[in-house]
Amino acid sequence: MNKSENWYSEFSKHMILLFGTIIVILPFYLMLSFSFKSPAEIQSISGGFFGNQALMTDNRCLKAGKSKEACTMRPVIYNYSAAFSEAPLLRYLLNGVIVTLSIFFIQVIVALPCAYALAKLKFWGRDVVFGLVIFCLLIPVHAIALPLYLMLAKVGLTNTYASLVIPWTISVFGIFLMRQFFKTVPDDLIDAARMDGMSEFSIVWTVMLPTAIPALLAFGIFSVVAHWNDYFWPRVVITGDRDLMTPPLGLRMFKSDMDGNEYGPMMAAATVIVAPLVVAFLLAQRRFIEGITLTGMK
Amino acid sequence: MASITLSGVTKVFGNSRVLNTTNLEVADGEFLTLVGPSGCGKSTTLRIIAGLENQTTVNVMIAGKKVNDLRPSRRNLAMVFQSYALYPHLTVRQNLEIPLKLRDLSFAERIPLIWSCVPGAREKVDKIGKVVNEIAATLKIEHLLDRKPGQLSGGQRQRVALGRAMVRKPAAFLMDEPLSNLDAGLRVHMRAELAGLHRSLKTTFIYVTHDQAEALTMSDRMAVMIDGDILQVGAPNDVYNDPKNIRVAEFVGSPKINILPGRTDPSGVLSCLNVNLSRRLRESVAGDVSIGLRPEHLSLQKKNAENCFLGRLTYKENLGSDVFLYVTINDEAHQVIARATPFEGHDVAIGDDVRLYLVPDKIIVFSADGNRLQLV
Ligand SMILES: Nc1ncnc2c1ncn2[C@@H]1O[C@H](COP(=O)(O)OP(=O)(O)OP(=O)(O)O)[C@@H](O)[C@H]1O
Ligand SMILES: [Mg+2]
Repeated sequence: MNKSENWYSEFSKHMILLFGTIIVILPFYLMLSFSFKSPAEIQSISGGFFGNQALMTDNRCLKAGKSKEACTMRPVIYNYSAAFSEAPLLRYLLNGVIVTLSIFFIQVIVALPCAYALAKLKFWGRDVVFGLVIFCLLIPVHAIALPLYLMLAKVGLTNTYASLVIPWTISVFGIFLMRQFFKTVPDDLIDAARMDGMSEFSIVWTVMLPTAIPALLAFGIFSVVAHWNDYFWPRVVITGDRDLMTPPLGLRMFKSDMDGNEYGPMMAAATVIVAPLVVAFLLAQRRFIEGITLTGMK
Repeated sequence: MASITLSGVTKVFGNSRVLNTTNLEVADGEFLTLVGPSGCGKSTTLRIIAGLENQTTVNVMIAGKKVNDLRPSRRNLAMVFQSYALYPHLTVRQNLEIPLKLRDLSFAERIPLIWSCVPGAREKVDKIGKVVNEIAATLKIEHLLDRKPGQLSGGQRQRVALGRAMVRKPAAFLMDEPLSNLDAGLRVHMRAELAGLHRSLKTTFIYVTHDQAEALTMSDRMAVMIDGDILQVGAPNDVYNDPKNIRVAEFVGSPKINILPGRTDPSGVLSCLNVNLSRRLRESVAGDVSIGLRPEHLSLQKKNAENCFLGRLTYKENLGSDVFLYVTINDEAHQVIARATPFEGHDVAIGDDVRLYLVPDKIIVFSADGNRLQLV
């Protein structure tokens, strides 16, 4: 391969990647940019990324009978303060944290012993059980949403945290992932633990768990991202009680509350909701990529 | 300290029989090596003794007590694994402490922070710390106590694994090829250390290896296991000089024993190829036998004499102190290996015709089905 050919292929590779990046970044760019700008700038698509940040007056604030000074502010401040005052954003965020962390915690408690048994113990019917686990991976959640909802409704659990958490506590994906990882742990290590006098349960928690931290983090990222962003299930089981809403659901409520063209505050709220995940991703970036390569999936 | 007895132990995996009915007695304080080619069932035997594998039929006794249904940790044995199997997330000190903590501390006393509130726990923990320090001093690993296993060399890991086995002062040590991951020099060194350790601990050792040099140098007795059968148990010298079976003879000794076809004539006198050995079998068996000859029992001969093979030298292996000569015997069908001194070895060149003298006293005769036949 000569030099110009090399240059050409590198160039086209980068152009393709750049194009992909733009497509991915653009919605985030717009979201962030709208959350900074005044309504007029959003309507006329002017003012660049940050907008001019010229002072603006909030009409609704005036209507509420406050003085003109109190209602005049920079658009960015208007957008974010509206986001926090019009909806219990912090409450939504807290709910998101409670729900995702409880789900992940219980998933781990269930998945590790299951995965250990499937990977390392010999018992009659093990392969059949593992086959069922694989089979369950194929069932889409939407298919079982209705029966699940009916069951929860029958026991009176709709509109509770429990209804948000319980359906997700047994993660077949988690069991599968951890089982594949445990397969790679040498049998000798487990036998050594048995010789040292550990019970099978303490082997799971004191030997397997520490060696499985990378796999567990990968699983944690998948689990947390999936349930933080989940809109479908909270929409099904939370019908009314705002204090239980998770961030995506809250965002949706927010949109219908404010009149249709308040894009600034809406985008500010969206930014606030997305921010924890983005920050977490940036902090755990390396782990996240390790996790994806570990499981070989996207 | 304890004796260990296996009687009539059989092991079947699925359809394949891995251990045929196996009997083995290990005396108290003995160093017994279990040696055999790869896949013959040595590890399986050891794991049955340890309780990690269920024997398909009975009986394992430790110190005269039947332990068939006892869990591994209750058998008071310690095992050193080939891969060392140290807990990768714990420091060396914690690795050494674990067996003692699990044995001596109650559940509450093992929980971090809480243990210090339990009366009497501190003394126990201090005692464990002291034992660990002693063991570390014995094995010279004190400076490694705060490292993780990943930061140790193979030899150091090996010591830590030994230490973890030693802390509990077990009734017997089971070792599954503990030296096979070490380089040649270190292996020889550790061989001496292990033998020394056995001498000072005076505990029963059962040592599995496929390296016959380890078996020959370290053990009080060795058990040769081939294809799931223990074929011979005895002192290394006896096994080497007096093998009971042709497979034992072929396995023990390096280079391998030479096996040549032999015959007995109607009067019961043995001959090997065309050489008349003028020896008789105790029980006369007419027909074909196999004759085993160790390389050191064949020597180069200058002038023609009785009991000589004629052949051509095809290869010379110089080990410094010895030279092994690979000689194709004149009938072209058989090759033998002979040991020579470096001085003798220097005199012959590849392609030379040579004459090999065989010491009739030293021949080992096997029947056609591989069993040993005694000479008169
Ligand atoms: N869990 C198992 N299931 C089926 N067969 C097994 C199992 N474990 C061991 N075997 C078989 O049992 C035989 C003996 O195995 P074992 O591990 O005891 O050999 P070994 O003598 O220790 O060999 P090496 O020197 O290679 O360690 C082998 O043929 C092996 O394939
Ligand atoms: Mg083995």
